[in-house]
Amino acid sequence: MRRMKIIAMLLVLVMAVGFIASCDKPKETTNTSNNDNTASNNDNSAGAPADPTASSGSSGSTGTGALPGGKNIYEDPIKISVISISTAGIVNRMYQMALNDQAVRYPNVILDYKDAEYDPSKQVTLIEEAITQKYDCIILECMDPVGVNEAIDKAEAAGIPVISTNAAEPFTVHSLHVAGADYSSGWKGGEELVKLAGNEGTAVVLDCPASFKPGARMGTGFEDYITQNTNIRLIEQIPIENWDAAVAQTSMRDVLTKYGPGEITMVYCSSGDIANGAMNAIDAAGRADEGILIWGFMGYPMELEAIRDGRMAGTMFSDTYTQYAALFYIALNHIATGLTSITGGYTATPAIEQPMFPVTKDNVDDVMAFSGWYMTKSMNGK
Amino acid sequence: MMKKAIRAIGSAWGQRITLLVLICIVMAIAEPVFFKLDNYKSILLAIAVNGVMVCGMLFTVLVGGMDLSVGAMAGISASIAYRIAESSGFTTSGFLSGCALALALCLVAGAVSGLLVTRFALPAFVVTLAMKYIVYGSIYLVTQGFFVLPPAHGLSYQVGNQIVFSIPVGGGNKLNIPMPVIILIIVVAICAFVLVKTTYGRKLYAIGGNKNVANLVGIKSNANIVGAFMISGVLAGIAGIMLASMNGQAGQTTALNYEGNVLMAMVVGGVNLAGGEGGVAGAIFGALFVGIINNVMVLLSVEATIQTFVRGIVILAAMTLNMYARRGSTGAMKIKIAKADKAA
Amino acid sequence: MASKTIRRMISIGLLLIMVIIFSISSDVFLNFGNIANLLKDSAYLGLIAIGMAFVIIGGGVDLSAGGMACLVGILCVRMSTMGLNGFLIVLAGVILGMLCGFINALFVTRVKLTEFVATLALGFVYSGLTLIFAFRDDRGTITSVAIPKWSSLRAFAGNVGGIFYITIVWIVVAVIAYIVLTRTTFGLHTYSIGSHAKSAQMSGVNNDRIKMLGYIICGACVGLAVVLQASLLGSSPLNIGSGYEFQAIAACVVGGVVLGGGKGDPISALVGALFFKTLMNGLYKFGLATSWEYILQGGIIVVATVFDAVFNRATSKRLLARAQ
Repeated sequence: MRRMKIIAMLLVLVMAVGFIASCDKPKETTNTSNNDNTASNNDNSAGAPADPTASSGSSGSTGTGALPGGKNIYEDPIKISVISISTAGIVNRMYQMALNDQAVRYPNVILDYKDAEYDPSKQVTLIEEAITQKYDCIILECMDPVGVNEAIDKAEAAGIPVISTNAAEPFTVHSLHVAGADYSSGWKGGEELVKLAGNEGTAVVLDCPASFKPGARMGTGFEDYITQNTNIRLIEQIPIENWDAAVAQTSMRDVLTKYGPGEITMVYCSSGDIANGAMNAIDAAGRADEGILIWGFMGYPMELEAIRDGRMAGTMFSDTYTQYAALFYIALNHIATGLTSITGGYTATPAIEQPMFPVTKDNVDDVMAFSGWYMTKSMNGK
Repeated sequence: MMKKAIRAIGSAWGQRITLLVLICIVMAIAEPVFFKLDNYKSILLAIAVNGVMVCGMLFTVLVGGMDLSVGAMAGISASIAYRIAESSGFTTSGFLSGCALALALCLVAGAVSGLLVTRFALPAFVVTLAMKYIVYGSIYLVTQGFFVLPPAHGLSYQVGNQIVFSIPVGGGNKLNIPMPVIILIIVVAICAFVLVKTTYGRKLYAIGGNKNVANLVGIKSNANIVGAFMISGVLAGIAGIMLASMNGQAGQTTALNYEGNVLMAMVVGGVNLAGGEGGVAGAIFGALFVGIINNVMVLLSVEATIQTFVRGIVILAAMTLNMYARRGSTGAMKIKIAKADKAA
Repeated sequence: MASKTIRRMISIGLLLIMVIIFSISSDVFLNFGNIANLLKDSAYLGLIAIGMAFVIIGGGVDLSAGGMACLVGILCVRMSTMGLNGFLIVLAGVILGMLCGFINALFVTRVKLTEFVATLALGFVYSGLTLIFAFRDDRGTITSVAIPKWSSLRAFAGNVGGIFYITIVWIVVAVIAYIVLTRTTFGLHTYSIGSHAKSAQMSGVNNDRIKMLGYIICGACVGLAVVLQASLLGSSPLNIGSGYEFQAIAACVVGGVVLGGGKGDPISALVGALFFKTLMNGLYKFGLATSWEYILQGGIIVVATVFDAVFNRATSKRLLARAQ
């Protein structure tokens, strides 16, 4: 019996080792074919001004090698950990593409994408994982602005700059926050819709799931603008569970059942998926000609097309591709100069607010032309 | 007479009708819009995808297991079907071959789950959870993270220039009944027939009741259980394709974590998760009830932050009511028997 | 050797094999910091799994664990902002958890709802209550609030010699739970109602009371887990417990607790939780694409449970043959 056990254990070991050895999967392959305009995108990157706290010797100068306190970004192996809230979803695909496209020119840079699966505890685990594995930079899409504070402090203390993007801004001082400005884009969305609809009517808000409200404040921004500055009546405010397009469609359908023709003036949607669901519901109910104004968020390809086709009134556009492409270089800058909130002596986190600008039928063609979103539309580049 | 009424309410159908009547009374007072034909269509459309998945998982639950991978299977099925369709330019043949391949994959995945459960006597919970991870991770291999956007007429089957069959985006109409609902009705009818009228169905109940006894009686439990998982996989695949068509997109997030809704529907519908008890009627009623709750909450403009709480309370109240109705009816039964005994 | 011991050795053996493989393939796996982090991360899930083990062994299931965690978490953070002593808050967390467990038990034993239904619905109720108790800013929108820096609750996030308090609490609770379940009458009764409820009842066990105690203990474990985790995180995000009931059940099942009841023990739950967390920790070291991480996670779970089953069958056959 003992012999059997030992043999069996050995077999398991062999099998497992074989498993692991064969496990050398390639990382995400980058789509190099259709990226000829990335260079121009970086030059006129909308809303990503130069790092205001960059010390001397930015990454623009070639051939300078490592600076004191930093690494040689052209030769040293560099690992960047990109921690998202969840890797499903088109936004993630977009920024992975943006980062990968830049990394093509830096073969020594490895980008490691991590999925926190909507679990704030897991984000902490992933940050600590990056510290353990001695990553050079962390790009974090933060879910809970408080929960990650200790982990971020540890990272910064270990010399790993933490750059937070979009979503919630962690309260603790860290290297940089590049904001997606959700509250103000909700506010501006309200302004734009009122410009289109006039200062009367009703508004429906298809908002984020209830537990996300602290971090995703676009719906709140819209409601604030509407209730404080206009005569428009806020008639419905519905949380869309899981940001799911199907739930949005069902909820919109129910709203349409409740309100007759002409009773709904505008619908504010907290994401492109939700806008998609709302649009489909309106079309399917045959009420597309009522002129209900739908406003989205992020400017997904399908949103832009819907605006062009007149199904949607507009959206707040965020060029995620350009934002993350620029972020790549910002990260490299931090790594090259050894800049963290500690070495820089920060007392507050520098923040770059990336303004989202409204896209309506007037400018949608231009936006579609330069937008990096179009690369995510389909693998075949259609 | 009173006791007859109580017993009627206590029966399974009685409970369901009572709940529906109660909801109708509340809505008649609070928001009569509930009773519009459009609203019924809306509710049925909302539960179509969930309903098909519930019918599938029901098979696995009846034999004493469960299938936590239905969400992921729906997702990968949608992704494969639409990727293949897209590469053929969204022609009918492209769609058909895409769907065929997708459903075949779901069959295979279901079979693997079933084999692991039967061959190694592994708990279905863990096996299907692991399968969920494997399938979910594989979706990325199919889509590379992109979303496939089918044309507005969604999934369609064309003869010449005429679209003969389609699930349009948004779930449009044919004969004034939305296509997904028609599919739901067909699936429900077939599953109910299989479970009630065929020997396969009866075997499943036997296995769920007591697997050892079923084996002794000569039922090939293992083969039947594998079949149940395969059915669950295929129906999840069909649901996924339907969902992607209704949404106008197929990708990584399609049907993400939908198994939670399926479990909720089954549990509310009175299906016994230990196996051997429950039917399509209960499962679909569960899905319907949850769909109605969601609908009611939107119609009544329930405030965003208390919706989860309301959902929990309503389900709890409904199930408690059911329980008392059942007990009341068995109580009435007992009284009748006691009286009969006394009279004898 | 008793078959239970063999089962235990096999599950621990699988865990060890994983550890060995990961140590070989990555040089940062087996260092002190990583293991300390691993144990710290596992403790939250692990504590919930121990509570879940009580319920599952008794033949039931508790799908409200996640909701309970969210609710108790937010209430504890509220208490910390009011300046209560850290120890009191932890105690309050445990008691609140017990209260929730008591409510669960009420619906299961008095109203006689199915466990699944009752706990699922109550899970929604607790999650819903979390939103109601959440912090709001002046405008009434939900906002995030941290445990104040001066609150003594923060002290529970500390460590002694690098090992975090939550890890120590977890191991201690696991041992106590093991002793309770295997050496007390209550534990014996729990196993018997799990194995065969009717015969347990006929032999005089008060099924309802045992079940109720099981749920209350589960609630206590969840409450303790979330208070300590909130202390570590510095806040209690509204979805801090979301999905943990399923993870806890998975941890129990992989560790050897059978879903029908009557088999397994809290140490299995501990091993199961450790298995999942070690697996993820190890996989992260490879820097794989997330899709491959998922695929491998699923694959390794299958492989491990298959080996566990095959070994158990082989050794029990041997035992049987030897006995004859």
